Amino acid sequence: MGPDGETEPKTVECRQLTKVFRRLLAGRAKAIYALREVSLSVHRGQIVGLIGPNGAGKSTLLNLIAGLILPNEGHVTVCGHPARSIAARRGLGYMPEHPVFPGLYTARAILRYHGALLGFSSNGIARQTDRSIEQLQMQEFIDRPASDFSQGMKQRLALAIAMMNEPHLLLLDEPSNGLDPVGIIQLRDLLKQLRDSGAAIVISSHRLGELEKLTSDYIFMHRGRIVSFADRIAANQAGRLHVELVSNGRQIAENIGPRFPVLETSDTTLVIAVRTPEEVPDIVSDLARGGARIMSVLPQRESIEEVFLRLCKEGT
Amino acid sequence: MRACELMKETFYRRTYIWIVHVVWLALYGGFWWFFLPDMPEMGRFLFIWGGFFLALALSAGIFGDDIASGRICILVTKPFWTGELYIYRVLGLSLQAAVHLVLAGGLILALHAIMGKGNVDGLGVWLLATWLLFNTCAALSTSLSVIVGRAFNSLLLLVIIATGYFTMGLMVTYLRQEASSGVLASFIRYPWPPFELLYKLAAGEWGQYTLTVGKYSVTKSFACVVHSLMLTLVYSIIGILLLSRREYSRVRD
Amino acid sequence: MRDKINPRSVTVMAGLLLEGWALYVVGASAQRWHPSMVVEDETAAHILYDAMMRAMRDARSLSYTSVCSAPDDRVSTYRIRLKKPRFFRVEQTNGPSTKSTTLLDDGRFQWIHWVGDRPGLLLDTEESREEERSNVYVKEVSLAGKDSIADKMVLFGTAWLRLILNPSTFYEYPDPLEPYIDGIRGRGTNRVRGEVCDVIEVSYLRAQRTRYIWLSRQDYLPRELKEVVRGAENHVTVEEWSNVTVNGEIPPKTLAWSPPEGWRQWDLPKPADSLLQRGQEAPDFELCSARRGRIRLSDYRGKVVWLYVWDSGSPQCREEIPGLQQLHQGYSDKGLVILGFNCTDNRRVARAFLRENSATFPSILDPSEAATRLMRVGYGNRTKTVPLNYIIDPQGRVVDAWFGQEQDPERILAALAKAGLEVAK
Repeated sequence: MGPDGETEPKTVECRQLTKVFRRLLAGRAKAIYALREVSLSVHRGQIVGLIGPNGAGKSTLLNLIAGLILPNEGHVTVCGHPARSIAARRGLGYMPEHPVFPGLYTARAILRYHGALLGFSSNGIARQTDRSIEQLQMQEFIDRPASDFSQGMKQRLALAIAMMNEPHLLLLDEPSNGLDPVGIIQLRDLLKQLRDSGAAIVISSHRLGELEKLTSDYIFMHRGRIVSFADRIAANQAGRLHVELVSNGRQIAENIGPRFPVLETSDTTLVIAVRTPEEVPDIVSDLARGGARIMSVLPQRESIEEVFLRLCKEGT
Repeated sequence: MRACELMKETFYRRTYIWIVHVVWLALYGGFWWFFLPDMPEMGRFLFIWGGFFLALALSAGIFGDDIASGRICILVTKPFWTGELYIYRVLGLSLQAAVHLVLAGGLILALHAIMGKGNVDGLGVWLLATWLLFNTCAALSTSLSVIVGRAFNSLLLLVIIATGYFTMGLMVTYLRQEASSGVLASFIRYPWPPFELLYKLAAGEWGQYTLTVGKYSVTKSFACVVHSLMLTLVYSIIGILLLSRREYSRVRD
Repeated sequence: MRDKINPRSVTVMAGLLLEGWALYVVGASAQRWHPSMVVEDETAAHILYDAMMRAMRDARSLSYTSVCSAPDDRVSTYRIRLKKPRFFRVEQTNGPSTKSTTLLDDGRFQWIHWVGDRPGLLLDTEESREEERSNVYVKEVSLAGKDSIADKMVLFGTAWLRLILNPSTFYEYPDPLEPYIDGIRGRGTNRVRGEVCDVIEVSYLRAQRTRYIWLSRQDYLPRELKEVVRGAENHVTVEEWSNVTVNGEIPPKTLAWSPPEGWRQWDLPKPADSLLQRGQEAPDFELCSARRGRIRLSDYRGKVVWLYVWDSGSPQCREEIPGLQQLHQGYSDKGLVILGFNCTDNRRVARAFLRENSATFPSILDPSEAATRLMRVGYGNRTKTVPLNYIIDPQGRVVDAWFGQEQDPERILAALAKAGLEVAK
């Protein structure tokens, strides 16, 4: 995944997106740059997590891809069509953060309503409704009015609506809000199924732990810019190597420093950054050649939370 | 099916809508029963309550609620032209009003038959004029709802209409001789909801002041109907353009 | 190669045209005069008309309320009670006001009085407007039904709208328009306030004026009248009759009045009093001509000018204009200028009228506000009565002025002679 040079067809492509909101404060217009020159692309079968602190621009980016707002500069396409076009919306499923439904409608009626909006026939709607009930375990509340729904029920229903037209692109804003643990696991499985069937999924979530279980493709955003794309890293591979030495840790760090970045140093401990798994034997060999008396070598996996905090710290 | 669901939604979207219909019908019946009005008086009552206040009540927050709650985001990401949302909702309101006025007409005829008093000549024309006024006011209110949050569209329209016609009344009464009063009166009479023109249609004043015999001049009445439908269309086009071009974002994070 | 027609553009254009037509129809006043508007006479309709006239004239007493209204929301209400041989009472109010003007004939005298202060009249002078306002009444000798009630009400100038059907018809007062009826035709039946009525259309003066009358089948009296006068603008007036009672009892005290203690008798100013007097300078003007161009009064300095104010809706004017044409033909080269002045007529109607009567004398034909104000204020014709005659000498001064057809030809000859023109009898 990257902004340029990809040969696979892109489900989402954003080029130099800039979005400015203008607010009138005390009579003067104040420009707020929600996004600055953001470029990214998302491919089929990819699940991408949008991560960033509040105000980073995650929801703005999602809204731009969904065609809910228009960029001031740059362009965004979905399956090769401009984001706001009907062709783009044909393959789009969108789930907002706090879904709202008319209180008098039952879940079944809401599904029928949205099925009708999608242009399904009566039979098609019935089929889709049954499928959604099955997939999202909505049997319990399918015939209850929406005014009685809990947050979790609303989330399931919103997800069912987003998935109704078997979208090529699914945009989810905080999809696990209000879901119980079972629901979260079911959601995870469902999204994986969708991914495997070729859909691209973009998730904005503050639940980093949940996101971590779902994907290793992240876009870190801060103050309207993309800070980092986290490359695909195998689950069991370390991002850092924790080396315990007998002594002379600092001396050894100076020796190895030019070739391998040393993140932390003490007399008996070294933490070395690892880019690929193949580097680990080379690092151990270098240490040994440098005279290090190694007591233990332990790969450390940097969690997504650690990445997030690190990037935020670097950002400020 | 899409059209059907969108039109049905205008009735089910809020709990109070069916209550409004029932209360309005009770008002018509009560007015007839207790005051035994002649047709112009009953017609005027129907005209204002069914043509204007009913439109305000049924169209309150028709888009504003969706926009404020964020539900609009799900609707406008569906693969159909956004204008259909507007068109079918307004058609749904119009259909509700048609059914409502047919029931109102039936109620008045029933009361007339039971009481054996009163005059129902011209009731059909009053109902037609009321329905035309409803369409225009509903279209304008729905268009306002696209840009005004929650249910304030109805309140805003009420204030605008009251201010406009109050001003016109002052002009007609006190400044009849001023050229500017004629210009302002024309401005309020033609681009705004056609209260005066449709009232004249229903009250038979078009025929009264033309060269034709009878109350209803066919040409002028037809022209009046055309104008009110055109006005409804113009308001609708404005609403559709606003809906299609505006941005929808609950959160500017 | 033909370009493809864009259906959207066609639809928009069609919509704009349709809306433009609708606005024109809705905003426009009634159609302009056209010769084809003259109505052919139908026997059945004429019989109904005669029945109406007979019903008015044969009744011993008649009382009704007449509400006159116009498209500009002006309303004048008349409460009329008539009793043979010569008694009547007419109370007139405007709009929702309760201030009324009452005209009453008790057989010996005609009384005019008002509730509260009397309103300003068209014929008021500066002094009378200030001094003679409260507790005044007018007392004149009764003319025994030989004067026109409708014209008298107009003379006051207090009513916004005049009656279409003159109540004096009850006393067999002749309708001056009756000899000028083009034709009467039937327009079917209609219900007016629940009463079945036959509708007739009466066309006068070659459709310069049209009246629609809804005649009740019960008593052949009107329940509604509509009059269209096709002047520079079309004026439409509607008169609705209600509470119609034929040969009913009218209490004697209704038809009697005497001034309360302390009230003063006031003499109603005469219309002629407000005209320019002998020796006064006739105001100069430059206004549109019936033919092309403009006419200026001062261009006729050095000649005797007979300024004749007319409109085609006045039967008297129609009778006099041929005589004036003769004078024009006989004396235009001897220093006489017959100058017509018309500030009310539709241009087509006026020019057609002049053409029909072969009137070649110059005529002002200008319905502008300036022309109307000139005649009302500058030349003192406050009641807008026609015909009005002014004789102006070669120095531009008024020699004489009078309304209508002067009964005494000697006066006309004397005025012309004084102006410097000898005209054979």
